[in-house]
Amino acid sequence: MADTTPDPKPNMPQPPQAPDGWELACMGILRSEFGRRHTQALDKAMMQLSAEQAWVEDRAEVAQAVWWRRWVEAFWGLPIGRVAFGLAMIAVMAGAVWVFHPTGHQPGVIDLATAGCRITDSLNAHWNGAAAQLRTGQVLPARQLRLDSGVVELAFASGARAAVEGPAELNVVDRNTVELRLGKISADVPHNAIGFTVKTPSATVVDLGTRFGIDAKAKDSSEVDVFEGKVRVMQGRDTNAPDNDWNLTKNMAMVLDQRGGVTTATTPETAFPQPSRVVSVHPANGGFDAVSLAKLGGFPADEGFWSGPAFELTGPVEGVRPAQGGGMLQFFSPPRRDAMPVDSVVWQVLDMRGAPQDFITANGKVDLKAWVQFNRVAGDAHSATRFRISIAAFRGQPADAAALWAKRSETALAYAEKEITTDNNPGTWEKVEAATKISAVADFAVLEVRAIAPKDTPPGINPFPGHFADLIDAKVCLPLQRSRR
Amino acid sequence: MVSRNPDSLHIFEVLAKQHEAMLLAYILSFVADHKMAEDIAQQSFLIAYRKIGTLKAPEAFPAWLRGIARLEALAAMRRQHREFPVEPGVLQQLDEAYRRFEEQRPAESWEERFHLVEECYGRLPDALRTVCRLHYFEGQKAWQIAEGLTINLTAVLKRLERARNALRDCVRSKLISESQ
Repeated sequence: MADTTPDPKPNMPQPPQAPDGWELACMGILRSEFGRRHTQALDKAMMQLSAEQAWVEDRAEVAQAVWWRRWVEAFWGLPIGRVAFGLAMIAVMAGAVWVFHPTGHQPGVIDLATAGCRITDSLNAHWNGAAAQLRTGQVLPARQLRLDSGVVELAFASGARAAVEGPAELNVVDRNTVELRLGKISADVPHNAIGFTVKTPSATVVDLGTRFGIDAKAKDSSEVDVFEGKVRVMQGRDTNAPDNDWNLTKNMAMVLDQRGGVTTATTPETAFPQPSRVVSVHPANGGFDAVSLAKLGGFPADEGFWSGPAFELTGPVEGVRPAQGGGMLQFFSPPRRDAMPVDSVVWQVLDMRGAPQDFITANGKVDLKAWVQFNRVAGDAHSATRFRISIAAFRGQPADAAALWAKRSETALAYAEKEITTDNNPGTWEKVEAATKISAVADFAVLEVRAIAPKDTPPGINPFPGHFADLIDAKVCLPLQRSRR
Repeated sequence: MVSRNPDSLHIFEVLAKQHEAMLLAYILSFVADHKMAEDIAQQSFLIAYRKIGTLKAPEAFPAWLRGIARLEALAAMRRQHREFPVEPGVLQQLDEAYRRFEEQRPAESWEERFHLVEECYGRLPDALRTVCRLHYFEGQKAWQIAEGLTINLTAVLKRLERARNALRDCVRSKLISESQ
């Protein structure tokens, strides 16, 4: 009898062995190009969360306005006042229906297309009309807006950042596109946001990874200047069928109108508003959550952990909850010195080699900022009320940090400190920021937080019955700048 | 509930940024489609922010984030009527690998931790590195690689398997030897 079992095809591959967990880990890391593959997941999530936050605030403002009307009109007069009161109540109910209606626009389903960008900073910005209430941190509504004066910085969901200077008329089309009918814009577009597009009445400028500026003038003419990298400039607004298109590279400029485009002498970058650029210098364990990155002792001999003579990282205690996460720093009272009370201090040495150096070299004078939140229990008349944050940048070896810090007024490249007197409500955290300029490259920085003991604290009295710090961070940044004409 | 404190958003962003590369790599361990992996990562960050109050030990944030991503991946595959391709035991090994990365190299960023894998990748023979590059970096299917390299499909699959085994052995031995 013939064997009816079909022969296996000679080219049929044997199924590979299923990968184990370690192999899967390696595969994922390979697919992510060793963690270097660009991802926009967090940017998109943050944009959505910001949009939700703005939506919640907008709804709160609507409700507030409605209640205000109700109170004004309730006391306004007799027959007319009663009619007005009735109308106000209808408005209140309508507002409530709008806020709570289950099919309304809910925060969790906000379309990212309507949350193309948010305002991250501004300098004396005055928006026209209904947009007058726009503030830093809010998502820009997707409609035609007029910025009468000042400068705003916009962070697009794509990662592109732009500074727009008034008078300007703009409309954010989506997460990587803006229409500019009038005004000046300059954009700083990272590699991941390539394709960032600015449309003016006479031109469409598509970024190919760069910094560039556009001056959209009246009479529908636009000037495009490239400061770094490359852009594609198209005449007209239809990018699929442009009348003409050109590639411009660094130090090239062009003027376009309805008749065409001509190259022109470049305008300096300073003639355009400049978006801020940031290099973070995160301290390790800035949330005071990792107990392993904190040691009791003197000034730290190395980078990357908190050290001080009298402190502890703790969870909720004395009715105070951490500002974020599960941990916070609690100051304790060090032993008195010469019978005098001593401040409670904690330090960390931060590495500033690498990115901040290049950034400072490239941009000259930049901002060095550090911020933290403090909190305390009510205590009594002898309890400390003041806290301080200090940051200093140095050149040299971190091993010499203690000596350099002790003479920081002479040795620091940059130094800033800021004090705050806190309230006695343990339910609120108060933020304080110290800022200075730095113009020379630094090797390391020292960050200090301090609870200040009142000098008149009697012996035997603890000036720090419940004094806390949380959420400390630092950054080097080039701030938003207006144009210098 | 979304916090209305703008600082908390910023703080979450700073924290999440430190683990963004890890999260994407983790999801790509069992989801080969980059777009789907991106969507799962984005959704995981949204959920993490909304539930951050339930995180008991802050140092567990990366592992907690991976747990959220795992559930999100499962949900995403269910929506597409697909099976989650990984056995529970294998998932445990995967999590152990990430835990080892964190424990052995606590002060490093994820990009720095993953440099270990890059070192091991650099030691692979050229033939294995080539198929890895084409498959994992450039997203080519095994049959496309076979056509491109004019070798048979079995050879491509075998090379991929050998590359995975070699990488696993190299990475695991380095991480475990560091702990001893």
